[in-house]
Amino acid sequence: MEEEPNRSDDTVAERFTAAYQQLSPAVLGYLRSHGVDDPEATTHEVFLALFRTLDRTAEGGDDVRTMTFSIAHARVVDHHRARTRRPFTVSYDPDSDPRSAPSAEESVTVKLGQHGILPLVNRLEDEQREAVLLRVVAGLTLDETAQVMSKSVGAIKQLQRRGLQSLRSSLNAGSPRD
Amino acid sequence: MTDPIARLLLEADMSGDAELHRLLNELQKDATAIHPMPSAEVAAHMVPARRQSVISRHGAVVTALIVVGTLGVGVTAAAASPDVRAAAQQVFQTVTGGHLPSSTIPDPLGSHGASSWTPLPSRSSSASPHPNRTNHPGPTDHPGNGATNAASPDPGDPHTTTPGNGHASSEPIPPGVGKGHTP
Repeated sequence: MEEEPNRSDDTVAERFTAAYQQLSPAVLGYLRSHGVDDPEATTHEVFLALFRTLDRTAEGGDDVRTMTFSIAHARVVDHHRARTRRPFTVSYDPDSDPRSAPSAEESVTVKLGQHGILPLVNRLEDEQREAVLLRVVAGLTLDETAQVMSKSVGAIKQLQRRGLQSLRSSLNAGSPRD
Repeated sequence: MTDPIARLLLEADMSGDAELHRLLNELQKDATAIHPMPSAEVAAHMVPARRQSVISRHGAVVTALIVVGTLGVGVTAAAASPDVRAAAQQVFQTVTGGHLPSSTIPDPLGSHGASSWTPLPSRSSSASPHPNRTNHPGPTDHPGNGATNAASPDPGDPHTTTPGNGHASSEPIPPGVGKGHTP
C-alpha cells in the first residue's frame, strides 16, 4: 500500500494545476484592479499558499475558488495596509505624489483600459469596490463573497447595491469617460 | 441564471441597465484576459509537464535498452555458436550465389584454358540435388580441400583463393588469379 501517498500527492497536484489554469487570470486581474505592486509575483504567492492548503480543502471547485480569493483578498488587505503605513516610514513617496508620478490605481487603469469602467470602480468606497470586484472579476457568488469578506450575505447585498448605484450615478454624470 | 453579471444586477434591482451590464462585462473580460505564466516554484507543483517528461525519458531509455539488447544477443549468438555462423554463412551464400557466375557457363577461354584449369568440383556439389550432402567443410568432404562447399572458390574470383587451399598446390591457377598470395 505504498501507492496511497503518491495518489494523494497526484490528486493534490492535479487539483492545483487545474486551479491555476482556471483561476490565475482572474486572480491576476483582481490584483491588478486593486493596484497591487507586482501583481504577477503576488499571484504566484497566492497559488503557493493555496497549494499548502489544498489537502485541507474539499474536492469541489467552488471551494478552491473561494479559498483562492480568500488568500488573494488577504494579500490585497496587506497591500493596502502597507501603503497606509508607508508615508510614516518613508520621507518621500513618489507613488503618492500626483505631481510627479501616477498612482498605482492610475497605472492599473492604463493597463486595463482607461476608457472602461474601472476608473469608476476605483472611486467607490473600499468595501463596495471589493464586493463588486469579487463578484465581477473573481466570479464569486453572493455567499462566496460574503465568506471571503467575512461579512453576512445581507451586508454584501447592501454593499454591491450601493456600489452599482454609485457607478450608475457616475455614468450619468459621465465624469471620467469624457 | 449562469451570467454572474446579470445575476449581480438582478440582486441589486438593476437588471434592466444594459449599459452597466455591458461595461461590467468589459471589465471582466479585460481583467481576465492575461494568463500568467507560472513561476518555477509554482510549476514545480504542477503535474502534467513533469509527468510527460518522465514518460518520454523512460520511453527513450526502454527503446535504447531493447535495441542494445537485441544487438548484443545477436552478436553473442553469432560469436558463440558455429551453427549460427554456418547458418548465417549459408544464407549469405544463398543470396550471393545467384549473382555469381555459374560454373556451367562455358569457359570463354575455350580450349587453351580447359587444359590448364578445370572447374572446381565444389561448384557442382552446390548444384547437386542430394539432400544429405552438407555444405559445411569437413574431413569427409573432399579430403585436403577445405573449401569444398557451396561457397567454394569461384575460379574466376581471385578473392576466394586462399592459401592453404588444396587447389593452390594441386591444380594450376589461372593467369592473374591469386596475385599477391603466398606461393
